[in-house]
Amino acid sequence: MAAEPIILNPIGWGQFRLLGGWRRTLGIAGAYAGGSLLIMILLYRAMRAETTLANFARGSLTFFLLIQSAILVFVGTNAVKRAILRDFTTDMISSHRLTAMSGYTAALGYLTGPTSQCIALTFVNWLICTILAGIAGTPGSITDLLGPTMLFVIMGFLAAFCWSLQVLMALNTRGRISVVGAFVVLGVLSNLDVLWTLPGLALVVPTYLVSTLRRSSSGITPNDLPVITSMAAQLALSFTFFLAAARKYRRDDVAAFSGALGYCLVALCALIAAVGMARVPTPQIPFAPPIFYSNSVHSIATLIALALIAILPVANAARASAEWGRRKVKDAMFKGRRPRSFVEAVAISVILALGILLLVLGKSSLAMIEHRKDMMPHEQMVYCAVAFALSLLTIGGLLRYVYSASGKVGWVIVLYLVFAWCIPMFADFSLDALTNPAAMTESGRSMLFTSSPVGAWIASCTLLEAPVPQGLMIQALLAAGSLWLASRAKR
Amino acid sequence: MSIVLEAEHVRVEYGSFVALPDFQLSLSAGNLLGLIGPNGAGKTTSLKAIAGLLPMTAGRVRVLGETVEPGNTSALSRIGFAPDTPPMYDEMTVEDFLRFIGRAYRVGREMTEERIDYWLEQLWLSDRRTSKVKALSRGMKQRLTVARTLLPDPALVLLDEPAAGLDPAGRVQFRKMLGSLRDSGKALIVSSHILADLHEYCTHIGIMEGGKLRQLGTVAQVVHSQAENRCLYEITLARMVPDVQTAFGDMVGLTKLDIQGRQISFEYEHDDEAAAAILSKLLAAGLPIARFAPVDHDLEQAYLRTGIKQVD
Repeated sequence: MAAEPIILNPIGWGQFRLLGGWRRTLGIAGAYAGGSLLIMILLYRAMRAETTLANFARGSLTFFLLIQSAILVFVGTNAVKRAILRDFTTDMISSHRLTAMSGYTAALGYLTGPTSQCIALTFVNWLICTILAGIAGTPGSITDLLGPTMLFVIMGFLAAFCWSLQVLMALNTRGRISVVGAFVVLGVLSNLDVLWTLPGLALVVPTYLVSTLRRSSSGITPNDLPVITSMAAQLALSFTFFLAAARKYRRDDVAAFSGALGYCLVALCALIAAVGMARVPTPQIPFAPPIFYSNSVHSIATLIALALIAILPVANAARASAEWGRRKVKDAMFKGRRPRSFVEAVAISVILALGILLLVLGKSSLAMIEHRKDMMPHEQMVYCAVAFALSLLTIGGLLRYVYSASGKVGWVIVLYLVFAWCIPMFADFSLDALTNPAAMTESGRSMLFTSSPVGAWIASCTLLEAPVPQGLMIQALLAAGSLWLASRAKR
Repeated sequence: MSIVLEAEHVRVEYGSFVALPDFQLSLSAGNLLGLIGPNGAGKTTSLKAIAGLLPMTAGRVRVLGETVEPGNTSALSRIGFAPDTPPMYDEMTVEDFLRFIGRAYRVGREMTEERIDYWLEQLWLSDRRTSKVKALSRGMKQRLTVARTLLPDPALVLLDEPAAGLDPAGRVQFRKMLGSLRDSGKALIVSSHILADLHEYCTHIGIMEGGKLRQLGTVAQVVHSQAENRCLYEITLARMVPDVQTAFGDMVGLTKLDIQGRQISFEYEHDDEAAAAILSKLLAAGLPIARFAPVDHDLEQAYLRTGIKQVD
């Protein structure tokens, strides 16, 4: 893997030249530093009568930290997207693909080149923030000086996460989709604390950082476990996205998460989810609805998220199997190894996702569900696992069938989620409301509710009365139908 | 001569449309293949498939024994491909763009500078060295694309309509350059509609239609194929003659008679005795013949003989 510095990386160098090279970068950094200094001096002179220098420096520090996070998350991510979009619209991507550059070199180039000016501004902001921290804190206090540095390191990890995800998304969509919008939504959700329903996600996005900052006036120290865990999760995901982007760069038809990388993503997400549930304490924020902090809600949300992520390796296996079959029919000389069937992919994904969850949670996994009187806790957990496996089998079979005729399967996944996950639950509620409106809130749910994987997880993790085995039988029938469909797939 | 390119049973599909059903080609060092055919014949698709830029549903392509596939940078970097619409960074200068290409192909810094000097001079772009790419004319961009393609010194060169934007003098020099590349031992494929140029510098010709190579062989083989010892003769009459058709009425073996005023053409046996015999018959029939000339076989006739009507 090429770990070249920016100036040696071809795409990094090319993008840097397109942005104007050293002269433009240093010019922008200098103008930004000068402008910031001038504005601060003018503001301080105007406010001198009302505030002290230390207070003014503290306020300015917060302002520059906000500016910095915007530069890294929004400007940097957008610059990466624009660079890749340009390479697709000018078809320079084909020119790159013909060269001796590996996918790793190209992905590294897209991470470093378009963001070079953001990196320069980050350095300026770090200098400004360090000086401001020195003015604001006790003179000579090492904690005050290290405070901004630590925050910059944290933001650096977040930036690596955003940028690598953007490289991957842009290479997957020919530069059309930006992840900035998703980060805006997540940023808003971070403040609303709703993300605590999914502790793994809260660990990856800056929720922990925001809440830790809220709780602590003295800033973050390297000993703050949630922050360190959050940074490790971001780094691991960034690396996975980077590897996937390097694969996707090779050609548009190459799957980003094929084979082992897809399983790695599932395993990593399961690990992050489990760590989020077990090891990182959920902060008790006043006035936040208790549902955010319920273990069973965490379990249900985590199962939903992991099942959605596990669709990726299952879909890739279905696609590889369909392509292999097609090639075998059309190419007499083809000697490619038969890929793993999607059923094996389902088995591996289930073992990885649920195995890691159980392994990390250990005995505390029993505390993650509400214990029902009509079944043993282990029984509840087995039902969760069965629903997880059946949902993946059903979508895997459908995808294997559709992939044999077409490469476009996004609509199949959407339809499956709507019809198999959502509609049964809503139908059950609607029927209940129509037939027995008065007792609706007290009555249990029918097997229509548990025929949805989400319904089965809700019924297995909470005290809600519902016939889970019957619902699982319906899910098993659906999975069998889907497997039959897959066996009828065209070669 | 060593084999540079082997394309075996290559099949390319765009959805349900089969662009290349079964493309096969082998090219040795020093071969220069001219690809001709109507629009949609599959010329560009075959070049892109050879360059590894398109997924194939069957077959394989090898360059110097290495399979061309995504991620095999060793094989891919031996291929130079210049598409008909050249991809470039418009905001870069000509020399920066070529430096970028040199870095991407891991050509050493000094070697890159040497090659930039060489190719800019060969392609008459030396005075545009510091110009931005966006300031270049179409022909200049076409030449810069050729420079970009040849800078990493590929073993296989694929050029899609390379002479489209060149002026007459540029075309002459470009022909010479292709000839010298061919003589230096590179294997080249050129897709072009300028058949006269192809006849001059190609060693081989491939005529494509419907994704298939209808004819493939040396230039001489293709030019004389389907001629079946026939020759085109052209006659110019000294003056208009009424009812000239009757003079040709009973001549056995004469085909494709075309009378346009004083200009007459027809096909007859490709033999000096036969030519003398038909000339004497026409003179005996009273035709005032001012000029009688057999026309040499060329690529254009060979192409037209295939029955492919549309020439792009």
